[in-house]
Amino acid sequence: MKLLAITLKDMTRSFRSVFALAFMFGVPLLVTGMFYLMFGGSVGSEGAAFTLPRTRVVVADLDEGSPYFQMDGDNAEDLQDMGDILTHMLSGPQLAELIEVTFASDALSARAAVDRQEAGIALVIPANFTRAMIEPQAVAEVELYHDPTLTLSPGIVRTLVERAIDSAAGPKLGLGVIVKQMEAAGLSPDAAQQQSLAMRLIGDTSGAPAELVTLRASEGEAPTADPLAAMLGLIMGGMTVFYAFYTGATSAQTIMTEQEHGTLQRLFTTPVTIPTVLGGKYLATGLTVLVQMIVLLVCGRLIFNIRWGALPEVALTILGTALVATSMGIFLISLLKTDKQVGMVFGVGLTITGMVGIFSAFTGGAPGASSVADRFALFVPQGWSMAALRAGMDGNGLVAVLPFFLGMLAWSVVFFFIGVRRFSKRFA
Amino acid sequence: MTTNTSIEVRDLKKYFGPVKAVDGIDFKVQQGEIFSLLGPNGAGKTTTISMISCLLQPDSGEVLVMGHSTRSAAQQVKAAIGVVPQEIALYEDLSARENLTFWGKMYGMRGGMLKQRVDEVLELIGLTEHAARRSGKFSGGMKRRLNIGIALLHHPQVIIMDEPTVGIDPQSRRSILDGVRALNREGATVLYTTHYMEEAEELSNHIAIMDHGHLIALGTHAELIRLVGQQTRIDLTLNAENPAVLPAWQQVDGVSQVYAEDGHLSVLVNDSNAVLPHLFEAATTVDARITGIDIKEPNLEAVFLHLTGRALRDG
Repeated sequence: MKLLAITLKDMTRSFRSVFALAFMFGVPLLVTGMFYLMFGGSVGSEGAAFTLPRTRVVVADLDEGSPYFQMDGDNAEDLQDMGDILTHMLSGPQLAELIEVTFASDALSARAAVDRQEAGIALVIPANFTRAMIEPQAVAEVELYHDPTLTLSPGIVRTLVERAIDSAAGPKLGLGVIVKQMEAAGLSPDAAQQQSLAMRLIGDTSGAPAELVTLRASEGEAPTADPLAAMLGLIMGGMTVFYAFYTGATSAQTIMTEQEHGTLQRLFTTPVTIPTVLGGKYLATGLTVLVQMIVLLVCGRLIFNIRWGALPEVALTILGTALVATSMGIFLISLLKTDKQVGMVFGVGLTITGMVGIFSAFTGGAPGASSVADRFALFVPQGWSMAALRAGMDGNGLVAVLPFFLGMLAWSVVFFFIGVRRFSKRFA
Repeated sequence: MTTNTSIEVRDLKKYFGPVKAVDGIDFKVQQGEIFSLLGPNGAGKTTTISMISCLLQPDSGEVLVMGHSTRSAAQQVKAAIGVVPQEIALYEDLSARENLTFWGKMYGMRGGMLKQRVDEVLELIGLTEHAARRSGKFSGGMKRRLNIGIALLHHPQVIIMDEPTVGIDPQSRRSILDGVRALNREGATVLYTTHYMEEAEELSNHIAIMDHGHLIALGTHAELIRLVGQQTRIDLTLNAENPAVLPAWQQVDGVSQVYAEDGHLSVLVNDSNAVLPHLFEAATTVDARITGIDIKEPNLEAVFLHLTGRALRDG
């Protein structure tokens, strides 16, 4: 009863503070809203989504192929070389809402189309593109020439091209290893044999060439149906996690402010125990973070059409985040002696760890940077929360979210026991 | 501990490093009385109160409240006392009613009984009309009253008030002193700390004077006054500063002590009527002219001066 009274009192005070409300709800929504406006997104009737303007890509496919290049499957007649595969992928239905592909006869006219602003991007596939894919020593250079005023679409096209090339580079590396092993065994495959081997590896590893690049989206939606909503999801998810931890620390800070205002000492003159006071405050902080996250995620869904994933995954993420944000708040505040030290803890303890933890929200489209950021983020609790949120958004199921939830639980237990121990010693 | 003793303090000590905040004090507060702890700032009053309120653990010694030890039965002690802290301790973003309701719950009250008692206390402290206003918007006096009201919610047997009139206007101060007397008339035992001797004189059945962690005197007002032998204090003002006047007055028959404080000159005498003409004569001999006289009957200030050689307000 007393514990719940303390919880209710603390929550009432939190939700009456304009400053706290602004940080809990205003700032995350504002930041996401700014991105929304920046990219000209609009929401219409139910199901309407953000759209990026289609980018015109003019392709100069100069690939001369290779006599050893042969494709099997439905599109085999159309796909004579690797250049064909790349252009086929770019002009496929999956990217139709993002990219409109036209063709030019040579590199010069492709670049000229960009200069005349008839296209945003020129993609020049060199004559030795296929040979570079299947000959061990050959190297080719794909050229992307784009309108300098464009910011987002060149990055998207570049990522798509890189992924396609990366997929073909695997078999080429495998070829090198096989050739070396054959030479070590006294066999010397000639160029024709090597290219034939390369084609077999490409066929084995990629299956149908049209599936060199696949994009995924949650809940079985068409992968590129709402790319800006997915990007906004990462940003708002990051903001939600970042400010959830702020709320955790700010709410836990009431222990310090009550101590400075004398109400904590007064509480200890009433027949209430220290664990009851700390328990009430812990519960209030946790519930405040819980309310904050639920409101933000619901707003994200309703205002920005963000799909957070299935309910059980989202619920587990919210619960884990509330636990770890609260415990981390109690831990951080337990390190302080006075309210004046709060800036240090918020600046170093929360802002830096928060930025590290949600960094992946801003590198979602860049494969290399994203994987580094993902790994680095797991050094801080915010990273685990962000990873859980992303696993849910990717539609990977409860099994994918569970490890991150357990990670958050582990952080919580450590923070909770250190924090409570320090406070108990202080008030004993 | 006798059956009519509310608080018993035995050889209580609390040191903060080299500072002996409370250094072996003993006293008893009888049921139904107002007991004042009087002393300058830093005398150890608040530390003593904090140990009686279970906020601080004594280094040694013992405190019994209504027969319960603060060491072994802190919860019973806390249930028996209502503490009014020196600093206003309210939730300023909650209304007066919300504050009282919350603190009532901390004392284990609930439901209709709590609501009724909150209404009674609001009436008692004169804040019924402001019950729904956030306490942060209250004047200093209203906050003080609410601060006191919180301590009265659960009908405590002992009310502990730590300098409740610090920094407030005379009207609110008068209201608080009247309130303390009213509570006492209803049977509450009051332990009251102050550094205003007038408050201690006006309110208390017994007064304990503290200085530098020690209890230097304890008794009724009359008993304490007898310590200085009914001496009268005469405050004198000169037309100009003249250091020679102090030794001149010290030579006058009937003067027991002369001292300067805050630009005023004071002498302690046994019979003011007999001594006063001689003070004028002595001033004239050193070319000083007296321009103002204020004669004060023996009071606790004089007692403190007599016992410590310092004025009470010197601290």
